[in-house]
Amino acid sequence: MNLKGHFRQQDGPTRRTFVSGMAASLFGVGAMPLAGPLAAATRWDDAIPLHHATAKRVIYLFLAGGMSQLDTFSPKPGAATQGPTESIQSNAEDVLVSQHFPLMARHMDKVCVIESMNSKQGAHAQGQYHMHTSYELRGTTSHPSLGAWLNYMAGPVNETLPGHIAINNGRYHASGGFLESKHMPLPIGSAVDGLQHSARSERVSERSFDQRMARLRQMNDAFRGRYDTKEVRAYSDMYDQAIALMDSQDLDAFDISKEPQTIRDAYGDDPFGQGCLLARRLIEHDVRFIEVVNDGWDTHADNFERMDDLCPPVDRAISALLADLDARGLLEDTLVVLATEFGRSPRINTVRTGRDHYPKAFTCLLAGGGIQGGLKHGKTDAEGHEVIEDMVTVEDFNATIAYALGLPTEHDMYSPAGRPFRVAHKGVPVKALFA
Amino acid sequence: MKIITTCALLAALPLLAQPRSEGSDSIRRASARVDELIDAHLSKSGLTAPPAASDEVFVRRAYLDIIGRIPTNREAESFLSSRDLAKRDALVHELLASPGFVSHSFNYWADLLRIKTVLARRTSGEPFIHWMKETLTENTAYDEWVAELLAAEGPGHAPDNGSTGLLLRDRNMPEDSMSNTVRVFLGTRLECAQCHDHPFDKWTQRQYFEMVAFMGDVDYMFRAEDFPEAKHYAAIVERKFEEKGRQTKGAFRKLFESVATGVKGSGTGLAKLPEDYQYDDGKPGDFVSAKTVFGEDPGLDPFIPPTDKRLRRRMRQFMKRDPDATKEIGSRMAFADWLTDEENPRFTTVIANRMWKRVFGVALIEPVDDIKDDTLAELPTLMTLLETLMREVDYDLRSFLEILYSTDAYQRECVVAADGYAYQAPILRRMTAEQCWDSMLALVLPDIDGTLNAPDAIAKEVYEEYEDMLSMNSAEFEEALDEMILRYSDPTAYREARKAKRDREAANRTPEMRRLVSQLRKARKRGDTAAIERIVKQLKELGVAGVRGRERQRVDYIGRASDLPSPAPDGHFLRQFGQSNRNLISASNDDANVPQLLNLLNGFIEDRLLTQNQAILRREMLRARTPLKQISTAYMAILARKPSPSEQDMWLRQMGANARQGTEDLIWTLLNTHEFLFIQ
Repeated sequence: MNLKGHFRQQDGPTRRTFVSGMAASLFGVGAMPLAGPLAAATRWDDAIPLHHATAKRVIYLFLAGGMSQLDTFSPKPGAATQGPTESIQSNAEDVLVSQHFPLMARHMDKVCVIESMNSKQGAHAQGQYHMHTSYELRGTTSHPSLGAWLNYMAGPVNETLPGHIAINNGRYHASGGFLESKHMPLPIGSAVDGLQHSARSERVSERSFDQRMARLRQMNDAFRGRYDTKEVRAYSDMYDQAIALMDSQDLDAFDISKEPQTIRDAYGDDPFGQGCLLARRLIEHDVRFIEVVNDGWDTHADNFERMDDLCPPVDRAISALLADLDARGLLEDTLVVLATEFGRSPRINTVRTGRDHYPKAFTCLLAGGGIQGGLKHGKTDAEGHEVIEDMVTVEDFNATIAYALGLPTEHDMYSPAGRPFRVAHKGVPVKALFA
Repeated sequence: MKIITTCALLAALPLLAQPRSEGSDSIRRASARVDELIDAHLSKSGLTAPPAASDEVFVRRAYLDIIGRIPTNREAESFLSSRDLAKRDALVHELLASPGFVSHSFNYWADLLRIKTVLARRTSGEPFIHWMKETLTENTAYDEWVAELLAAEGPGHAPDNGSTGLLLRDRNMPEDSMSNTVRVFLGTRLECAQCHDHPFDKWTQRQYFEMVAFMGDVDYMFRAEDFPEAKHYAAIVERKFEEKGRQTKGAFRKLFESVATGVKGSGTGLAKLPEDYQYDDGKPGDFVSAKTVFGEDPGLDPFIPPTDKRLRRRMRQFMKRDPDATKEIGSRMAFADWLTDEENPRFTTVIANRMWKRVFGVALIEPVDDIKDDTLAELPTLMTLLETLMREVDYDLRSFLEILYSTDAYQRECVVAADGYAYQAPILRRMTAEQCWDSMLALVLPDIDGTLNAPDAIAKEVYEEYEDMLSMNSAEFEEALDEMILRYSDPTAYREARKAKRDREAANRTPEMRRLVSQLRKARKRGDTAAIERIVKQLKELGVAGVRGRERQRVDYIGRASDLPSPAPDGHFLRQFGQSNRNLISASNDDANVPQLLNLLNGFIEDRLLTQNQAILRREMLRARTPLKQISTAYMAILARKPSPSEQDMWLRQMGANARQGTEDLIWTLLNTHEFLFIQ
């Protein structure tokens, strides 16, 4: 099936008509057969094969507000811009981390630190949008984020569960963009609560639930007999899928209470920690792309005091996640990303002892999924003002993630309006990061 | 009859008490013209028209299509039992005049115009929402309100200036603003030409920027000097600046943000070609003058700043003028006039086509917003007639819709969209997210339309804040500024000062206030949103600060779709059923997905209906007493029809076995049927 051609034929309808023209499903069966990108991969466009992938799935950790690189993963000991934050040696030779990441210091051998991130977006909404989609925030179209592209191009692995999930989401920009609605992330407001409404009400016995369903099917069959349309059939099918999910073992993936208390404690008893734990459970059930958001990094004021609150949960959660994935053999083909919309100014805002927005030079992390660990990529000057070596733009960063997943970064894909877009816009993968 | 006052007609509900206005004859004649064309087309194509829909199907369809929800038990019964031969036309007329029509239309326009509760940082969308609802309530002519949107000017938070909302929606993006405007109101796609000549249409990049030039130098920011009321603030800011330095300016900007957002400038009629412009008909950075892409050009004559160095120097020296200071020539107003003119070749077509789609489910021109020169409607004579009728009713959309809803074609049994569809009847449609949610609420809330907010219910707070900011005396302003400076310079001290202030206020509370505060805490704990709203309102009236009602943001908040935040929060029933996120034009969808069905199977119906004694349907079921009556009550309330004999037998057996369980099974099942979710 040639989806590129399909897009073309759709020349210009609204998303609504575009979407209803394709099989409607959030979980599972879509317009495409199901397979991973590691399999022979020509299902979404015969002309553009997916190349060899080093990662099957992504856990995308987003620190919203703008993470201070100097106070986390790119300290500059001795520099005038460093302020009171001290640094510690990690278990990777070239890598120092700040004093706030003692646990991560023991896992940096699994992590690649990209110190030369560069963006031109200095406002939160624009920066977050750019980081997620590689495109600028516009009023006329909405671009898919990486999780949506991945599921669109590679298809889901698990047919029962959604392929794109966002935990602790809020106003952030994980989105299906102009793709079908089934590629939109399924929002999970709270990891502890899991997937809403997936269990039968306690008031309804299994027997009466089954009776209800039997009668419902009878009435719905009659309706479908009168109106045998794609839309009506989609609803009948979807009831079957919903029931299948309720009965499915996979539903357990959403239930972190199934985890031993020691593991729950290791990740940390906070929304981010429990979100990371849920992400790991979902990864085990072959969900493709999970984003976990941690908010509050906009430290214009009291930057150094705030680090005492902001860093420990992140240190605990990510180090637990990396260790856990590693122990389960999942880190090999799971890419863990730590991203933020921009960094914070090396210059300390002395009046408020804070750091302001700084897109020019900041830091993001990659780990697992074929990425070389213990690596520091790119360089900034002694005080961290400018990138002086191996600049990685936001688009390059996303192209690198796409590359790891086997997605082509140089092919135009057409939106329903016939406009060409690429997975990571003009980004070029940084192949040097791969082991 | 441009303005229909809703109050009088509201009083006339329940239905059929109101005599038809004298407009009804002309409506009927116009509907007949539409039917003639369709029937002629049918016989020419050898097709037969479907039979008229039954009263049961019609009453449900009319309520859903016109006021966005299913009819209540009483409303359905009253219509079905009426023997008035003209009862269908009467129902259409009265629904169109009811507040439910405003609510449902608001949802339609919110999807199309991307109306959001928050338009941008520190830019509230509530004034826009207020304006839209009021415009729909007053039934302002479409061409008038579109022109009002495009020519809007002034601070966005000022009372009754919500028409700035559309332009503020694309704040600081005049190019996108132009593209979206042309797409929504002229059904034309220009946006591809923003970066290069349009690949699928004839527009060049230069033409694109000539269109953008109508927005010429629109400014989205007001400054203190723009407000005569705020004159005395300037001296205080200056003095503080001397005392406290740089922080002062930032603090003032922050303080002033709520009044500073807006639309300023009538338009210079100029735009600059982009820096990467690569065609022969202009150089990067060249000025281009406003010129329309089709129709009659208003022929503006903008002032183009000179580029010649000597000329520029002379202007500075001798004329004491900044050569780059462009001159406003009212190009935005000229654009609004051109776009909404009857003679504009696409303005009328687009709205007539959209309204047809709203009524029948399929437009005569699909897609509705990618019209090109060679685009031809499926049924060109009908398209022409609709355009004529739109002009005849003078862009009164309510009358136009009444014509369509009164046609025989609309009142027939629905058909399934397929090849050979000939506009003979509406197609089978899934309810929109809003129709589905509001229909659910009609089974929960008594007096369902009585719960609708007044158009300005929430915008009022924005206006108050705006007016407070501009009406401070010098001492008040200085205190506010000091507080903001502290927030910047010493956040810790600021937080402590705020806390101390709150504690002082708490200490001064009367027993009455303290009782309410404690009630509020308990209500929040048990998630009783109705009680929270009520208590917050009472506390506000008593002047207790800091009890902002954020209840509307909760996923489990009960209120009509048009009164909830726009868009509803992530994970809300409305979003699960495909409500637009309001980021793209018409981004709503009617796809099936698992979370929405899980919500129907195990969520809303259990939590909000079956376990709530005050839910209206539960009360009606209790009142019905006999199983037979209960069955017909549930069928009428949910599906607007009587049960078939076999259905009745099935449920009688079930309820004989266990009455309570049986009624719950009945309600649950009917609400999960395709028959409920689809509009026949």
